[in-house]
Amino acid sequence: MSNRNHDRNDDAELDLFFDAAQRDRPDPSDGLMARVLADALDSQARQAPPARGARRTVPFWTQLRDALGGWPALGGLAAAGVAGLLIGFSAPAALGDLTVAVLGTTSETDSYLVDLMPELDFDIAMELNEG
Amino acid sequence: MPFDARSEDPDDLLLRRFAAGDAAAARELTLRLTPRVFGHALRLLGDRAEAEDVAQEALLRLWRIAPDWREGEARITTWLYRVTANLATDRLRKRRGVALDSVPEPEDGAPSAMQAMQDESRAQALQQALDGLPERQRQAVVLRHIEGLGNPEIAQIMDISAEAVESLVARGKRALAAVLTGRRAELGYRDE
Repeated sequence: MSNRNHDRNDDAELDLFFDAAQRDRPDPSDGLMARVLADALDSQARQAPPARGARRTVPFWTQLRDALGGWPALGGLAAAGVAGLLIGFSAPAALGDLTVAVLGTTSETDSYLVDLMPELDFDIAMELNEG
Repeated sequence: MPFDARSEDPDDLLLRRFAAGDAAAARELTLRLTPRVFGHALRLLGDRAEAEDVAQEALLRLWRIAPDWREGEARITTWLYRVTANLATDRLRKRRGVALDSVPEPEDGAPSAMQAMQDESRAQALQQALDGLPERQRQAVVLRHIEGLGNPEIAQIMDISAEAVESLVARGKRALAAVLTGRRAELGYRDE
């Protein structure tokens, strides 16, 4: 019984200390507050996804350029296109000479007609005559 | 820098806004949580500089896990008390062997009222007595009687049963009473 009274007295006395500690709450320094906030903003900058409105959309032409291999590839493509056009509009004389040398004919039409299987015409004619 | 803004948003909602990149939420969480985390660290460590380091580190961990925080699983303050206690325990273990008397006295202020003076001297005496308790007893007593938490939350923070919390608190209080009773006259708490 006396032990219980003793404990009760101790509790009451301790409560005075706990109450005092609750009232006497230590304030963090402004320096700590500033450091914690700086950490928070820094972490946020590293982690936060970009705001929806600020999302960067890649234009179609940029996507196409990148898909083809960037500016160097586009340069080569443009040069080849220009060369093709020039050859088409004004074939240089040297090209005609080359055609004659390779195909042995001067006719422009003949240049495109190459009989790859000349015997086949004969075989078909024979079959028709015999049939 | 003024640190006086307050809002009524729950911590979870603020942390979600923080994770989405809201700078105002970062500021609000800093204002809300730093005093509490620092206060708890100081009670456990009894040293202001170390308590500041621990508070900064505990909050840094919160900022880092913010994007992965699972709402409703635990209260943010519960999680913070736990992280703070773990960090404080690590520091206490490192400096184990340092005599109680060498724990620095809190700075002297210039209190304007008798009550403030008495509170301060009692809080200091309590802190010195707390510093002499085993870590787990100290943590349980601080969470229960200074932070004002209930046994279920303390059990969650300390990862033990509510009964174990009760036992730690009871033993801690008995030890505190034994130390503080000897300082009755000095602290004048018979005048109440």
